[in-house]
Amino acid sequence: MTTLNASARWTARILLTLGLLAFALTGLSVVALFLPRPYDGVVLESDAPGQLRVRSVVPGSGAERAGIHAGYRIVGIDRTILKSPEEAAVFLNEHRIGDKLPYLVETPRGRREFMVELGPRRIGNWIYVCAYLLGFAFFVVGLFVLLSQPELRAGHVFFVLSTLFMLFLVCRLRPASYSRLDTIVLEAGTLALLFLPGTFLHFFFIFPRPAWREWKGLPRRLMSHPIYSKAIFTVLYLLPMAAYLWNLKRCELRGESVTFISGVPISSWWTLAGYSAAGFGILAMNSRSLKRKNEKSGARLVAAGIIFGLLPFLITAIGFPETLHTTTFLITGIAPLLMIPLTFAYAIFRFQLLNIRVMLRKSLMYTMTTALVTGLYAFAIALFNSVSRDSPLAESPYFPLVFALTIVLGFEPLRKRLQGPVDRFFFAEKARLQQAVVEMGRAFAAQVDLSQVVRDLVERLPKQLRLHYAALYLLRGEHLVRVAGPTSLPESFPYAPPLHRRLRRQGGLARIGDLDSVRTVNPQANHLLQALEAAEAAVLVDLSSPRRHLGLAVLSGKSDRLAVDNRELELLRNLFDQATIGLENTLLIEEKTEQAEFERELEIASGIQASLLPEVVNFAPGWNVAAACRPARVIGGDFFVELPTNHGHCALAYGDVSGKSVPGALLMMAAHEVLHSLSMVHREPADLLEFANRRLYQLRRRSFVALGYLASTECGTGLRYSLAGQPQLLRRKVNAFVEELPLPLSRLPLGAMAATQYDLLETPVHHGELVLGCSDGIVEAQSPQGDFFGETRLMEAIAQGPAEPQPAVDHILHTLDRFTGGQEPYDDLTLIALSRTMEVC
Amino acid sequence: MKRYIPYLFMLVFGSTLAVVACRTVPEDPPEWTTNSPTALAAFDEGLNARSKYYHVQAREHFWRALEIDPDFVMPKVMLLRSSGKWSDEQKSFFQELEKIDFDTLNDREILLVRMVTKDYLEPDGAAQLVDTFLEEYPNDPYALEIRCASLTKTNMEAAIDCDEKLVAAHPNWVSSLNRLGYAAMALGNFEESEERFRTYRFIAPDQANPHDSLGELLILRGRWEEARKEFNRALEEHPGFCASYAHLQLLSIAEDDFVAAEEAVDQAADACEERELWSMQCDLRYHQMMKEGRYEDLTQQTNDSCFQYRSNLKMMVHRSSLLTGQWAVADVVEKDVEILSQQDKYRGKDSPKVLLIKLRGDRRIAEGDHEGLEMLAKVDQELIYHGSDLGIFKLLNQMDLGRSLQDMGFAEESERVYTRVSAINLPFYERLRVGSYPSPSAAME
Repeated sequence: MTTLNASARWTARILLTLGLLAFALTGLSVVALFLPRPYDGVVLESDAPGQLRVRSVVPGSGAERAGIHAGYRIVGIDRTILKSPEEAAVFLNEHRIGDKLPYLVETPRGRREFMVELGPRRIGNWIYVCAYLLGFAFFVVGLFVLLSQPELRAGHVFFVLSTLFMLFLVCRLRPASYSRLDTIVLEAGTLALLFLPGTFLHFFFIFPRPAWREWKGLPRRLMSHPIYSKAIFTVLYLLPMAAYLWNLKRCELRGESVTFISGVPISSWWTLAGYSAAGFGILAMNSRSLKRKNEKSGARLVAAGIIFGLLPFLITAIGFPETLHTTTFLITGIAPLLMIPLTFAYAIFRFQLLNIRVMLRKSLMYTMTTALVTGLYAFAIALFNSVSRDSPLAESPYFPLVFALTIVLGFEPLRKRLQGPVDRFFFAEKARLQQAVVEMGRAFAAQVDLSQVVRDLVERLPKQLRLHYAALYLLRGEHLVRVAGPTSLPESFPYAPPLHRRLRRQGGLARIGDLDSVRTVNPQANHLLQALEAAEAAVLVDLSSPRRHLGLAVLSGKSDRLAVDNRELELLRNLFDQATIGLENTLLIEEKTEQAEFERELEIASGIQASLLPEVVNFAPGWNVAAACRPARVIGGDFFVELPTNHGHCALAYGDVSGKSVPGALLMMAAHEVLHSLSMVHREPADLLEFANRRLYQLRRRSFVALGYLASTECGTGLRYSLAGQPQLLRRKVNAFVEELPLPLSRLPLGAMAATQYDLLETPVHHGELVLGCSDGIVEAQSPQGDFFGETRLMEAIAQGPAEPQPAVDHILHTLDRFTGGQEPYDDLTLIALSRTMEVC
Repeated sequence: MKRYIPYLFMLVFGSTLAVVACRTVPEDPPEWTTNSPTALAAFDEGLNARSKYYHVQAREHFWRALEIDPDFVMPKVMLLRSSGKWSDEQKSFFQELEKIDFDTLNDREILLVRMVTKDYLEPDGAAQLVDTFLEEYPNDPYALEIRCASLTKTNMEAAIDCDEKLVAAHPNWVSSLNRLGYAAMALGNFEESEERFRTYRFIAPDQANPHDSLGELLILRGRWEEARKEFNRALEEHPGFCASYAHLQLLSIAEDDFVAAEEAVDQAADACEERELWSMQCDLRYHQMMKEGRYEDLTQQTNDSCFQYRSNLKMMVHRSSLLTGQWAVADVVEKDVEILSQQDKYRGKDSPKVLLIKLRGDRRIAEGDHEGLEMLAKVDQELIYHGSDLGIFKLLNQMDLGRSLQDMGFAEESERVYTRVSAINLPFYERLRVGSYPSPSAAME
């Protein structure tokens, strides 16, 4: 697998910029050919700097009618001797089409004057059109490879090769007239030809893999060395330029003129031929050492492309002009050049470098549709003319315009309509893959079974995309835990928010090579990425919905050892969007189910809890008692219970266990049962509390129960009580004054310490007095503003309320509700109220 | 989108920089210093006419420029550089220029002003001024023009180099093309000469001079029909162009069409100055006598004013004296030319001396002395094809040499000379082979 790195991407960006500039230049060059300028019909020899030597004249042009022929040299135009072609362009542009200008021309019989009529610019012929189309085809193929594989070195070189070919074909073989643009374009073409051989050879050195890896000894060491290999490639690139300059200098020293063939110095042709032969040799050597069958086939295909593409061109562009002195057959050499990009691209496709079919699919479709629409248009116009000849509609100048607009508007729908059948016929495999991914996405979105989603992700997806593996990590607390995937990956790792933020910024997924910035700022992420790289992971996918973070998917590189390209990334992005929805849905459904079950169980538990509380509270004769217990959740930790006493009466215990919800409820149940069972044996309150403490301490350490114990004195005139962690008892006197009852010395909650003794206090209770006990949930209740209810408010509520137990309890709870604003209480609430009705003794 | 912002910024910044740079490039200073556009226009017209060798019109334009802007210095300079005798007003210009404040002029104008004064007073100093100026402005056409024109009189090779440099920098500078055409003609590079003249004619087809110059070359090359067309065209463009009448006359004489030659003289009456017209009449009369074989009459012309002032006619009198055996007349002619070659105005110039060698060589041949052949060969070496007159004279000498070699029994050498002449001018060769102009060797019989 090719490692992605930032420098490779920067190289790709620079190459892309340069390539687009070259493309703009060639585009400008072609556009310039069709600009409506006055033109004499002279095509200049492209390699006679500063001279206006006629390479050919456009048939039917003013120059041809005037008698100017190839080989002549234009000395002056319009009574002015010219120093450069640009001056000629200036003069021509000052005139109009149809003007006649005097030309001074050097002919084999001396300088002669010609009168040349200027016509519209019409330069080039179908040979050049073929060259343009071919050049752009090269560029498009190269561009597609670069965009698909921005980090692949062979892709870089192939793009450069394609761009140079485009410059050569479009600029170097371009017919030139006088403008500065023509000169610039031709120079660009010349420059391209100087770099083309080196790039050609470079490509063969590294395609389909670096050739020197199979070599032995010094050559391998040299080529594998980062500095020496660069030096060797630099020399290879500069050699054609040196040959060109040497040729110029040699001709200058000998006083000879440089020999040009097809507008190119012969030295450049021979350099290109030599480099091509060397490249061919390297490819042949390389292909012998290739192990994989498809690589061998690809190499053979490229070799065939060179032979059938380049050889005819070299023959017709060098051989024929030099031996037969004609460039008439140049077109027969240019056309087969198309073999080169096509075979190269197809070979690259075989190595999964490029999906050439995507491009063919679109271009073929557009070509077919264009042909169809054009045919329809022509047919309809012909039909209309034959039917409605001489009618007002036929004579209307707007009719063809409106008709053409209709056709244009209908173009895209028609193409879309045709695309489906064509895709099915020509691109079944691609369509199948796309369809499979679409179906997988739909299935994800509709999936309710988490295990099925996981299986699709880690089993089906790698097969479709030819990945080694896919793994799924789900967020469990603060960790991502592997739920599926190879064991070579970490079982779990801490959740790293910066990494996920970065992934989300990149659209949810990214190649590991694209996450370098995270490594520097987050060591945890760096550590994780290193571990994933070690396991040959290539792409990370953040699984997050707008509501929650779900986890992380890890994808390996492809089984063909090439990087996941941008199109595949896009495909994956869409797929994982669907998968995230599917995952979230299944997780939500699972959680919802669990929640419902839990709530149902809580309801049952709540019922059980409620059943433990006595519906009618029995205390002692002559006492009126009211009690209320309100859990904060479905189930709570507060309770009250009747306990038997030595006098045959009932005592009342009210408790508040530590913890809430299920743990609190369980402890409450335990405390309830402990107190109940021990009270059967130990009627003495101090003993009861001491043994209950020991038991609860044994049950669970650091869990305790705050308990209040209330019992009537033997004569019923007073109250015996003990407080183990519960708030102080309050007494409302007859005059509505509220006071706190004294606290016992030992008031540790039950279960807090192993050996604790509890003492009981007695206090007389008079008629009209009211005693209140409560759990801490009452005083700790909070208002919406965050204020505690507190003892002061409680005492005020008691003072202002009635003196009867039940109305008093209701009044206090009502006051509390108003204070809290009806919001869910933080803690369970328990309230006990007692008053005397008569004396027993 | 954010990643394209730097590129957009660079594009906008680069474009702005380019626009600012273009706008801050200083404009070229004016070529000539005057505040009056109409005066400048008149002056430019004068320069244009001057470049066409229409000196009379040029002077008129310069005067008009001065009328419009009396402080305009350059018309005064150009009027002083015009040929002819200075008027009192021109003399006052000269005194004005000697005191002029150079701060108001540009460098080229300063040079031209100083050139006028220096050139008049000390020519060597003037040449030095031009050289200094050219060191700073190596391609200034006016300075180069002065230098090239000056070199043409003294050093042909240096003049050619100079003009080639001027034409390379200013390919439409016609006076250089004209000089280069004549220089190439003089050296026998007729194709190059024709190329130069055709280029000149292409640039300035509305001028008489390029047609006339090309016509001269065509006379020398024996393409007489084409030459006549060129002269006629020159006169169409400028009926007052006297030189073309003279060349038409020469052409007609070469064709033995004396009626046409006479017509040319008649037509020249309104165009040429009196002395030029008189010269044409002299030429016509002497050639007529020669053509008609009136050698005795020609030998009687030694006291004729034409004989006195037209050296080319002396050879006809000398040849006639040889053909008629009047050696005393021949002596007179030779003595006359000898005296002429010693005169101050011909000091340093080759033409009278060469003519003297020619006359003495002819005489030796007439006497049957082989040394005469060597003398004619020497004359051929000394002569150049500079203009139609000198060119025809050189060809005539070659034909004399060829015929003399033949008559003295050197057939092979003679044939070589004939081949050379016929290659240059076939009609001329054919006419002389049939004896239309007897050679000195004819006197041997």
